Amino acid sequence: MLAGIFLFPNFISPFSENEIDQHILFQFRIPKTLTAFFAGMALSVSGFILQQLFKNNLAGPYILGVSSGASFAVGLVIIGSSSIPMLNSGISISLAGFLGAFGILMLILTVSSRYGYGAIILLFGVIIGQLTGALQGLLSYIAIPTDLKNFTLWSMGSFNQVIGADLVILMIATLGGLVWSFFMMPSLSVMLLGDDVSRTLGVNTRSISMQLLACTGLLTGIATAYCGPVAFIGMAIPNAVRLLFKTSNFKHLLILNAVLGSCMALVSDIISSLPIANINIPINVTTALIGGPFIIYILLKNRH
Amino acid sequence: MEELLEIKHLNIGRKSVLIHDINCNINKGELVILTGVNGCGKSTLLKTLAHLIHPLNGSIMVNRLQLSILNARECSRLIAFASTTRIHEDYIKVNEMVAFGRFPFGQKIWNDVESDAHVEEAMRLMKIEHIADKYLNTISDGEWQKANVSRVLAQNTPLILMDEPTAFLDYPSKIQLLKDLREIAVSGNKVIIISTHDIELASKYGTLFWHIEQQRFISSEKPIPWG
Repeated sequence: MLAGIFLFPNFISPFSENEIDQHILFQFRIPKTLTAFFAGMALSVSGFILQQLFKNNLAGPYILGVSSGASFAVGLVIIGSSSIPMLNSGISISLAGFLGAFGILMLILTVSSRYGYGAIILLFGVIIGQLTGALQGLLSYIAIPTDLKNFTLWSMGSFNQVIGADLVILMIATLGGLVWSFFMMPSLSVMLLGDDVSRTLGVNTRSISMQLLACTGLLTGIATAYCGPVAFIGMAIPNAVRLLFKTSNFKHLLILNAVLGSCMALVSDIISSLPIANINIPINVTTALIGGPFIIYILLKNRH
Repeated sequence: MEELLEIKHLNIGRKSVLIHDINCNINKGELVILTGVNGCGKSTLLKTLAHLIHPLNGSIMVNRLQLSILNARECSRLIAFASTTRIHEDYIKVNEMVAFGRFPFGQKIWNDVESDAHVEEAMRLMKIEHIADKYLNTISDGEWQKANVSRVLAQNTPLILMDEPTAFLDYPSKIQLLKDLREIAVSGNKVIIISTHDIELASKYGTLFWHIEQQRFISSEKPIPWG
């Protein structure tokens, strides 16, 4: 899969030929593929965790406004960086992404603990998304043109241009979040029995929930910081995994989500970079084109 | 007979007091039937005994251990709790849910579900081996309640608390469940406390009766008439 990807996107690019091919391969293809791989993994895993925590199959980082929260924080940093140059680093951007995502998650947790898990959570997430969108609009109104262009391009979502230290941060954060959440899977699965019963089984539900939210904040925040708010992967993949594998072994589910999320990101990336009409389709357009019909299918299937 | 549960001057409630001054000692091998009108505090009492809600006053001792100083893991080895609500999960099997009962003992809950002796024994007691591989949302309410009891039994605790286990069951299933619970309590030397509205039925199988009326707690060896 992986090898096929960085050879395929546009025409061919052999292993070692002239310098230009080498440059393309190492500066663009390989980083881009790795970025897609890890961002896809991060988003689908956070989607899976959020769906379990909020007991709602339509939850996901994008719908719950977590991606928007991260975008807004990153927007602040990108646009602020022209006046405060110190801010313009991979670390500050990823930190902003994490804090933005985690902040929204905490808000949602507060709402859900008071008002329940159902439609209200989705509604709340959508409204938060709109709110942060509006704030972003304000932000771009006052921004200077070059920053604005950077920010607009970023907000369309892309796996391009994550190289060097940024790529390393993305990889470490994703793997870290994955391993961290992996160890909480047994407790999370016991929580299927409900809050009271799982507490009498010795699960510290509050601590587990907080840790898992921190994980999803990390995963979504970092992926969003570098790739923009990528839609649909986080919601579609966990549902696909459930339907395909019909298991509730959470350790397996987590791994399957990671793998399938990566696959969907890679496939979307290939489709995006296919030379159709001489333009590169933004990644969000592709994920929506694949993810949209799939979610409609899920909705209809669950409604029988 | 060995004493399992000792309750002294217990006041319970969420914010204000729901039930005043509960005093009771229970020996092993009893099926306790807890009755009272809706909202009188049956669930609150069970949850307080399960260490889910803190008591307002007084003390609870289980196996001569003060409940308030135990941590969640220690409690989970002494007390098992089952709630009324049925969970609807698409892809979880009966034996997997029963195996959740082994979580407090650090067993790997997903691996070797079949080979765990406690899980197997618990399902054998409730006679649900034949549905071990069925998904939870495909079984009947009666079967679900049996699976629920099996999960609690797999936890293998001396004290078992169940909130309205007979609700939603048909008549024969209610009788069967109460028979089973009595058998488990008496021969397994456990204390099982259940809340229920099926007073006539439960009075045939219970060995001890608790009733809550107007914030007062009454304990008796004979069924308590309502009024």
